Amino acid sequence: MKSHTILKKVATTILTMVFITTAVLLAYVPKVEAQLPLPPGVPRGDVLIMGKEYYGANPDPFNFNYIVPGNPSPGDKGYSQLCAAYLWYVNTTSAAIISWLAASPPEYSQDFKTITIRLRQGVYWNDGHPFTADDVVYTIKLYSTDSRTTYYTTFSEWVEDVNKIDNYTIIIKLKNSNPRFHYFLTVIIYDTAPILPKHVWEKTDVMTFKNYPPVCIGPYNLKAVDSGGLWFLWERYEAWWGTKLYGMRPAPKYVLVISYGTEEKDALAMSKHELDSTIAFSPENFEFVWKTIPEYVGVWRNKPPYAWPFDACVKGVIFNVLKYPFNLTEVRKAIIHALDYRILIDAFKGPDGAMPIPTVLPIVRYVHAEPRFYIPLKDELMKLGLDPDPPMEIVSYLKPLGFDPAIVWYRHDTQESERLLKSVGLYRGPDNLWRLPTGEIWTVELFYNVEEPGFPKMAAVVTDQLERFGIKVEPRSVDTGTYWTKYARGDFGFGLGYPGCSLLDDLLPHIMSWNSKYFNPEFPETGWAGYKFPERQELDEILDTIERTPPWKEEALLELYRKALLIWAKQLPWAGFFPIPFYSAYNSYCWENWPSYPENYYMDPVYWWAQMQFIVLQLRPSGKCPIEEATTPGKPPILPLEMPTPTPTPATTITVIVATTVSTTVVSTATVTQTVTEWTTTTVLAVVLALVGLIIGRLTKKGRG
Amino acid sequence: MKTIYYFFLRIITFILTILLSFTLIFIILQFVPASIVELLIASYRSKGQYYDPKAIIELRERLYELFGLGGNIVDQYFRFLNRFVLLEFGSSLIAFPTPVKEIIALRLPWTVGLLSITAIISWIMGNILGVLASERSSAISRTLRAIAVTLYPIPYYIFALVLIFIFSYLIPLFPLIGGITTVSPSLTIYDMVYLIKSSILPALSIIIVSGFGWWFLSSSSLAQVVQNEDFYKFAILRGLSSNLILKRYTLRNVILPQITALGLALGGIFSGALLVEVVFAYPGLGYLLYRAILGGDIPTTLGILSLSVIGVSAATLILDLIYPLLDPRVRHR
Repeated sequence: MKSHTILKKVATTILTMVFITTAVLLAYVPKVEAQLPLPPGVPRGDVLIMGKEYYGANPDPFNFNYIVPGNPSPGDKGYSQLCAAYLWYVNTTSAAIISWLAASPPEYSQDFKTITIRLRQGVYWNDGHPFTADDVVYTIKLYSTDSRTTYYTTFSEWVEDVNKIDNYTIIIKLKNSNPRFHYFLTVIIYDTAPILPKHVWEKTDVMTFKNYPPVCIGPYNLKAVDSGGLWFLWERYEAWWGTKLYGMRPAPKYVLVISYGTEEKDALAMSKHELDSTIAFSPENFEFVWKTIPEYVGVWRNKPPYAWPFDACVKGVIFNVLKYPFNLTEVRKAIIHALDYRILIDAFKGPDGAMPIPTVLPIVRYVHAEPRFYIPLKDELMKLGLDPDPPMEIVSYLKPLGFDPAIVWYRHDTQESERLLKSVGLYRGPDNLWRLPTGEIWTVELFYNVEEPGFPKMAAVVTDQLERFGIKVEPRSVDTGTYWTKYARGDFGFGLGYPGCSLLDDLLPHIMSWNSKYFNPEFPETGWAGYKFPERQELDEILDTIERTPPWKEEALLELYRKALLIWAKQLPWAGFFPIPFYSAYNSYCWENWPSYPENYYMDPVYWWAQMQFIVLQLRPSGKCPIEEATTPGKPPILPLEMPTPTPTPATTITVIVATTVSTTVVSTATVTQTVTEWTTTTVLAVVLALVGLIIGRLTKKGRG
Repeated sequence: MKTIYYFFLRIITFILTILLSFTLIFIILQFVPASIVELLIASYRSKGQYYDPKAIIELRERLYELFGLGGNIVDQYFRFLNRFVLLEFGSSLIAFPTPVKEIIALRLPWTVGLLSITAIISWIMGNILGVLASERSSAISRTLRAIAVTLYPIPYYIFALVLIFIFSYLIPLFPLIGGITTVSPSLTIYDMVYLIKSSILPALSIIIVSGFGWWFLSSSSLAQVVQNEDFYKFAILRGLSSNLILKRYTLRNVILPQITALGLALGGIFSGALLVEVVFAYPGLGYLLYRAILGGDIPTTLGILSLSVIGVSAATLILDLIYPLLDPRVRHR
């Protein structure tokens, strides 16, 4: 038999198999929820699907021990958002403290060496054990004494002793005065040191205990884990303390925290309504989702411009101020004036018209930070070289969002750059390239993390602009691990980074490291703390004073912070451009009442932070997806403060979260069945069948012939 | 006697290869500039955990101590070598303190299952079709060769995304992620069907690209070489049937180098397939290796690469040992 006859037989066999398979598939039209790892029979409308913090598989999906190093991301599995709970949280929209497991803000003694913490009464772990002072005392003692825990270095430095007065009152004695000790137990950005259930952890070795499944105190319990580390399924706890005590009840019966592998697939999933929230899309992937489901997508706003402008870190150029020539203020300012912020903003303009918010100070320009820092310092900042005539496009963008449009960024002024460089001995050569006083061409290595969102684009723009000015630039992109290693050791001269991260209006946690007493010559980073300049002593004294001033003395602190920021602005050890706009998208097809600026601004779109719990507690079913056990949300998450009378001194700042748009309308929970017919699938399969059948017929006919 | 000597030599070579590879890997990893300690500290700080600067200094020292990254390089080498010999690689640093063995064991079945099956299927399919299509005259042969030549240069990532776009999005026959189990994994038909369904797309992408690409083209080219040999022409002149010539002359000669290649391919599956795993969200060793290298996790990297070295060396050893059975020329020698 000739080989081509054998080949024909093989081809016919394969095609017949394809025909049969296609026919079988035609009879089976998979429903949406059949594609998801849910318990059999659970409809889509019962499940909130959140994107994992990191793409790809989690290395050890069964490890819920977050108090030892090596497992730094509790938000990746949904643990911090759904299972854990903390004494205090910061509301990202107002920087106000939310008392959660604690019944009230912390109470400090006059010398700030003793703290009283009062716990909320009636709270219990989801295995029924009461949550009491024993848990808090055990946790703090563990962190202060076990050197293997991540929090040991912090707690052992401060805690002298911790005891309970009664089941709901704890006294912590500090080794030194610290009016901000409670920040170590407050969720500011992302999460904080968790309080552990004593009855579970005291019998374990912290190094080997995986805490699986975790005993939760949040509104959800862990239902199932993918052994491959790609998804985590949480189930609503019907007897949660929040429901029993305060009537709070999250609407989703299940929360599925999942990674589809890549950002492109997340975009496909969201456009198919198989993903309800994601950390951040690139502008291109967001555009795809937006164009596919425009009526359901939202981010910070529910209409263009969508992007969330308040990622917690301001990204821009950084200098190693201990290395020549970046140790010269004139050189740093020259580089900054050589950059055109308008081109940078344009480069980061999103498909929806969203623009980054120019952020000239090293703190994020939150809505609450604007009147406290930016506006009061406007005149001084203008004197330091801000653009006095910003483009109308930027002005008309900032104003409706509530920002002062006169405060943008440093003016693009190459003449000023020339003057500054020449004043310190640099000069232009005949080839128009800048040279050092020694005569060699000044080559600047631009060091940046290629995996950081936005940095490759930023590097390209900065390189182009500096080269137009005549500075030779050599971009040096490295991966994340290498970047942080070199950054910590100060193994760079000029690059991209974000030393300016913030959320609180009490800026000390964010600027404490500026103090020269904390300078570590072995790991200098930008070298700012070790940098000597005329106002160094003044800055150190300001920071020392701030450390001694309690955070509730807001007026006094604001004055000091403004002085510190101004000193910084005069030296410019780094210059952030803006926080990269985040497209942290949500899909309201199945779930609505997502936070939205300005009309429903109860939280920022921080789905991977612990504050996501407050969003989950306020979502409600849209009615478009079939449901069975999803409900309307219960009461909004506003917990009363339980202050003892008389109030002990000093009085702390008390704020109450007001959720503005929580609906209390009861929605019927009757089961809605929908027939999901994939007509596209059916049609294509039928066409394929017909074609395959024709080919088989032709082949067999030829064979017989 | 000669045979025993041959086997003995091969086994010694196997052991020395493994030791040398381990040493080379260890040396190369010392040049990776990433430090897991700095990565962790940056992670804690960027996530807003409030650390005062003094605590950072002490935390750094403690982490170096806890992760066993202290001591000089010779001490570290013998420590890691000792663990390697006992196949105990210590704790993973990106998932500290979970043992490296444990996180590899979680992923090994996925990698071995997918890659071994797809390697064998694509090898069989590619070789048979390649040999059968080596005759230039047939229309089907020409079509197959044209398809192979078209598919081969397409970057795998693009091809995989196209498959996903068509079969998970436009025509949603398969889930968007692969390799996932159901909520309560067990050996029920439902779970098995689900597992197979979510592995089909990643498997298909590998089979098409490597089967229709590499294996098809290489066997087709080899077959054409054989067809130009004198013994082949003589066999035709002798009047032997096409079927006999195909089996005894063409296939037999083509299969020898292809078996070597298959052996090496099977040995190499222990390092996973990074692109497959990333694109299809498949929980294999490739992505774990990628994260371990970038994170400066030396124990995990050593563990996976050691597995790969052992796999390839063992495959080579087995091939060396069975080659005399396959190739009479080696047997004669």
